[in-house]
Amino acid sequence: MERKPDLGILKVEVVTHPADSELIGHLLSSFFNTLTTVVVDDPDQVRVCAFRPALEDGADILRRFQEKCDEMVRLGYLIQSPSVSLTLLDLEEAFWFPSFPPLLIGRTLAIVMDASTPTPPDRIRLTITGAGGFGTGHHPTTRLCLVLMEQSPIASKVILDVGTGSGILSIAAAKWGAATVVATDLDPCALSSARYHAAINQVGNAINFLQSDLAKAVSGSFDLIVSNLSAELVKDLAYQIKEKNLLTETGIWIGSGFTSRQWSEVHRLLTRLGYEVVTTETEDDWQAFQAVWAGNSLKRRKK
Amino acid sequence: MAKKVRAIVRLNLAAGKAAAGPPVGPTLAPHGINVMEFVRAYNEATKEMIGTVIPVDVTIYTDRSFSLTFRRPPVSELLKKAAGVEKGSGSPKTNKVGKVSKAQVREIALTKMPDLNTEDIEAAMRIVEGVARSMGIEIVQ
Ligand SMILES: C[S@@+](CC[C@H](N)C(=O)[O-])C[C@H]1O[C@@H](n2cnc3c(N)ncnc32)[C@H](O)[C@@H]1O
Repeated sequence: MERKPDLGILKVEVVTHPADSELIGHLLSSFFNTLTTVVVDDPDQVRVCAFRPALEDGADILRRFQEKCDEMVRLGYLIQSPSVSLTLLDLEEAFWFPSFPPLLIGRTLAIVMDASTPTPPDRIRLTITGAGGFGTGHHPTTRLCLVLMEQSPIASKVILDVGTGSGILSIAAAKWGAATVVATDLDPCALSSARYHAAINQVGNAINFLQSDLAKAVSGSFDLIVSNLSAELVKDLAYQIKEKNLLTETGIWIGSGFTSRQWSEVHRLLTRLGYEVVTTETEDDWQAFQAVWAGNSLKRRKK
Repeated sequence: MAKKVRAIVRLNLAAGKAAAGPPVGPTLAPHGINVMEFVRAYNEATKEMIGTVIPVDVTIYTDRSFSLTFRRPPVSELLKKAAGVEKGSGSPKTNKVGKVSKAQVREIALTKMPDLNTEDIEAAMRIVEGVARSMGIEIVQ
């Protein structure tokens, strides 16, 4: 599904009875594929809201959502038929706290959430609105990945980003001069958010987006693999990389997404499968690692 | 003297992974609270529960301070756990993904009742059944 890069953020707001809010919230969240918020106006009225990138299929989903609500009223699961409104927020409204400072990461990046925030001229500017996909740079695991990526050779390299979320790691790789980037996610909403972010950062052509369970649908071999995934998924990915030969002989795998408490377990599996961990970093109990094939650590070229 | 409440907002968020973008920013920022402070507090409190959705009620006071009350996961999450399934069905009418018993429905209704804005166990069970139905989870005796 193609989309214009300047569509902004869609806010879906459903006014309803408080006792209906759980079921409405569930329906809204499954139809629009995003988490919801509930604002309590008074004892008899709440507003259930969802935010997501303004995809062109919004009106269609909304119609199906309303039909579903009507059906649930007929069946007696909902007390009343909710009233729904759609608001299109431009990026500034969606992120309207304008004093939000740019986030400086590592030596070279500045991340902003809207077009109007200025960034230092010596930094690469990334605009990540955070809509629809995880990874705005405000989470330690994203920052840890970016910092480790910055220390690795990327220019002219072939990169794989597993679980791209907002697309932030792929977009940074493209800005650092990667030859090509393949970015996967299981969640279609994350993928459209990533496409959107790639477009507004003018790197849409450098990144191939792919819906895939981890790297199942990926083929080829990569100089750098990045993944910000939970411990369980990292372990699965460790098997996939090995079985599918996804990492070149001198390739580097950078991963984060789990806590320091879970690290020893992940580390043990990596070692058992023939990886060698060359660097680890932590921030606020979040863990990140950089691994290569065992025996190749000395051959690894520094940036 | 008790502080005056300006608004109460419930945010359903992925544990440990809240960020300042939507829905958090546009929901909380209009009330004048420090969004990053909220994000940090939420992520810190929920980081061991990563992989689940942990709702939080944010009570915002007129002086722009706020307090957090963590809630039980949404009914849909509790149902997935009870039925042992990873996700709901895309076409719940034709494709059933799992089963829960009436007793499990009652238990979920009881656990989640404080968050459901009802004091009636039958009404709470009805909500749970509605969610189950829309996820393709069957209720058996
Ligand atoms: C913690 S976010 C990381 C986002 C971004 N790469 C960053 O570093 O900020 C994890 C992402 O992995 C995706 N994901 C979860 N399970 C997956 C799977 N089995 N296959 C592919 N992607 C998956 C999620 O949808 C989410 O976008």
